[in-house]
Amino acid sequence: MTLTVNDTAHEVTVAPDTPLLWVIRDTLRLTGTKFGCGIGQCGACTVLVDGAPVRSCSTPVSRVARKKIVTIEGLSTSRSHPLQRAWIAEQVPQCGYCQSGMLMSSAALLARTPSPSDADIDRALTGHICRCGTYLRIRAAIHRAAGDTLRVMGRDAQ
Amino acid sequence: MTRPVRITRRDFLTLVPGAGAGLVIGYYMLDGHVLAQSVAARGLQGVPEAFISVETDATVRVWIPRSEVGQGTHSGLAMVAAEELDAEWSNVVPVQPEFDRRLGRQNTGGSSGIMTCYELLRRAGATTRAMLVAAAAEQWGVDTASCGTEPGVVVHAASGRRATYASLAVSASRQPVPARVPLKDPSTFRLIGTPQPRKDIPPKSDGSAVFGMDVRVPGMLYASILRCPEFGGSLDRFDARRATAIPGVQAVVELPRTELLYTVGLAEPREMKAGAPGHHHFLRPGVAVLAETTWAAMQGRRALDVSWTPGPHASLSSDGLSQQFRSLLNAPAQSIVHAAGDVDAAFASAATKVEAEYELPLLAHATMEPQNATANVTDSRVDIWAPSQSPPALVGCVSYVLGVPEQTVHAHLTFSGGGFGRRGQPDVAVEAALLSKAVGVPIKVVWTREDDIQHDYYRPSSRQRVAAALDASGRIVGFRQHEAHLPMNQFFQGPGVPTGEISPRDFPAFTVPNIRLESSTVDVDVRLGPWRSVADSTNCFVLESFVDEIAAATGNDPVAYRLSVLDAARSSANGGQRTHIDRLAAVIRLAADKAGWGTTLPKGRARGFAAFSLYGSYAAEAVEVSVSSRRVRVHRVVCAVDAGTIVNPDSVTAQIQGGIVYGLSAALYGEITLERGRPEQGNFHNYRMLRIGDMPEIDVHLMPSTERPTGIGETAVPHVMPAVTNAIFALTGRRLRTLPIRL
Repeated sequence: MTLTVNDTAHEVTVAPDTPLLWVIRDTLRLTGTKFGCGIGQCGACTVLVDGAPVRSCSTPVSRVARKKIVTIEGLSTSRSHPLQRAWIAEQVPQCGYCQSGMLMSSAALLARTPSPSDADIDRALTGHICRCGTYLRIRAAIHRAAGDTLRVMGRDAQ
Repeated sequence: MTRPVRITRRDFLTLVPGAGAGLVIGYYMLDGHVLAQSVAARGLQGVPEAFISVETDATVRVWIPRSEVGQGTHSGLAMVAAEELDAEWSNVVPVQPEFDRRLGRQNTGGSSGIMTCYELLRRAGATTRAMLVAAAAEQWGVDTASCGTEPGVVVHAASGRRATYASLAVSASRQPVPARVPLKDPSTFRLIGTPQPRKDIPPKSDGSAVFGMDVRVPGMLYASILRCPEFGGSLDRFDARRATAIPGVQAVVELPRTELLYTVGLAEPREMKAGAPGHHHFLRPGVAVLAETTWAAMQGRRALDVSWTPGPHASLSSDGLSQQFRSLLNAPAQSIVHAAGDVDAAFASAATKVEAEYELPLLAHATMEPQNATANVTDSRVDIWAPSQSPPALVGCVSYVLGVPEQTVHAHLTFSGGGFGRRGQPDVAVEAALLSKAVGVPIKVVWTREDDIQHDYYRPSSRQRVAAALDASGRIVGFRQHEAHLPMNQFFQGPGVPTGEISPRDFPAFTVPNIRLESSTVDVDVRLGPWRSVADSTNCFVLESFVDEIAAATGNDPVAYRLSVLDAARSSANGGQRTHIDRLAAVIRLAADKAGWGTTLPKGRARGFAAFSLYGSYAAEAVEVSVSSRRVRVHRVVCAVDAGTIVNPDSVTAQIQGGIVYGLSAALYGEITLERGRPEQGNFHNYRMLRIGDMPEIDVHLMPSTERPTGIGETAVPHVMPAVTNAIFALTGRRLRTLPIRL
């Protein structure tokens, strides 16, 4: 089947019920998307499928064959996404293992809610676990990125 | 320990790959002094632990002999060297060396990274700077004393001449290494004490950081191991037909057995005798499915038909253990941990006695990155890629089990998706090495989350009985503490070694003249290990709950009571003890003050408090909670920490916030319960974790200090547990003496 990942088409030969996570990691060798629990409880495997956050560990690859998949590697070039700049400015990661998933869900959040409240953020990220406890900095970084994005869009002048 | 170590230039370049033609110095501690050897020298006496390489392109590489598990030690220690070297932080690159015994032990634990390497890296930085200055002075024909540095540049003020470190690197490498160089006055620090950006954060923000789980070696197979689900059980037989029929599955092999006992800190593998006290399976018996992809290996494992033979723990249960703990507490203790004065007399003449029992469960580490290791065993060498907090344990155990010389085992250390003590255990690396040896190809062993939770080295469970004898004025004159527990210490020191994990150095014991601390243990084949804050994760809950109970029994405010006990002890304390008391009292006051302790809260809210010293540091927390529908909600945590000199306040704040989350998760949800010889929990749906919606506000206050740096990684973990249950008592009158919290 053909998978479109980060704007690149890949021909892959895998069983249709293979979770997308393992196709991304083992077949396409994109290791930024992480395995954390295998049952959709931790969010580390989150990728965007047609812009929506999806737990790739629990998604059979056949279900996304004709969709646009974006992984952490495709979020930006050179860490230029406002969220990545904010993540670095706020010094968010500690061990870093959960952060790819956090970033992807946060990117989807900002795309649909450019100026999220803490409650919006909590709802969007409730499916994610961070064992290092970076949640407060994640909220701060999302607000920072939202502020940056709005400045770029010219809304802060209102 | 000194032994002659020959480091040739070729060795150096092997140990320090990427070192260019510039200045490369190895540093080590000998008899309390830091000594250095440059590439040109030979016959080194000692074990270099750190290197600094000043390169011709201005890069400054600092070798950090510790693992980065998220705690920020790589950048923190590099900052220390950069400070004394007077390097531009933007040019500094921390480097994780491949483990080599000639570079010291490189263990990462005990919150000790900054504490143990601070002096070494300061002197290393200062010595390197002195050689650059000497090179410039020689070039300019001036006195070294007339030269100074600005970040990355040597300057001669009188003539205005300047030379970059990059331009001086080659000539500096020919300078003699000075024996003892003065260090900066801390009041002149430019980097230490400031929030410099961590170097590992950018790659952790774009998916490029390489964890053990991400390692790929050509020709490797993935291994998923079905391990005996029951403690103490063994493999009876297995049928691999359905498993090998899964596309991608290459082989199914029994995991080779070993009865090795290892020691984490000492890294000296020792053989266990079957049936000896404390005997346990180093590796859980299992059957490994080897496949071309992780998914195929996992699918193959699901298709295995395996039968297990029950062992002595087939009926092991948490309730059963709890019963055993209670029986032990009602019997004479097996061993005395510490005794002073006359406890029995103190209790016999006490005006008031306060007694309570507390019970705490097994806890799993649940690192975000499940356990994994990649091994390639060939005839001539063994290569292991893994996240590890104890490279000597890893290399020692792999070499022991394979029967090969240690020098042939090479440990390549990756980032670790969380450590918390779990990555000090070499079991996964040994599994991978045994399988690679068995089949002759590189093997990556990947644990599922269920494996990770069910085959963990748990934080031990325990039940403690604590009693205080108070005189007529309410002073504690006698103190007894008896812990019935699963003994973790034997995993460090071997069976038969007294395993008390309670300590007379904790509060309030150290203020009481008549004390008896005792320990009794239950011997089970359950793997136990250090869990972030280790014995303090239990003791802080027990002792800070108990102090709260004494305060309540004597009609005192919890904060005022702690301060009064400390104050009373101070007058009879010696100098060191007095400093200890002052530092603990100071964080108590700071936390209470910042939390507005004693001020009115909205109806339905109450505060709780806890203070404890661990890893040489001091922390106190005040929390604010409410309860509704039998659920506790933590609204705010105010934490004051004294960790001596703070290298990077931003990293330290992050560690404190993270530690509080780790502790709160355990307080609210954490328990591994055993039933019929196995853990009942398996994944995050039933081993629950704190999530973003549970987060309280967290206010961190760092005590300014010029004392030596002390530990921070584990320092803020345990306090939140008793602080929350103490708050619940203040709110509801209900005293919780077990965790996790159940209302």
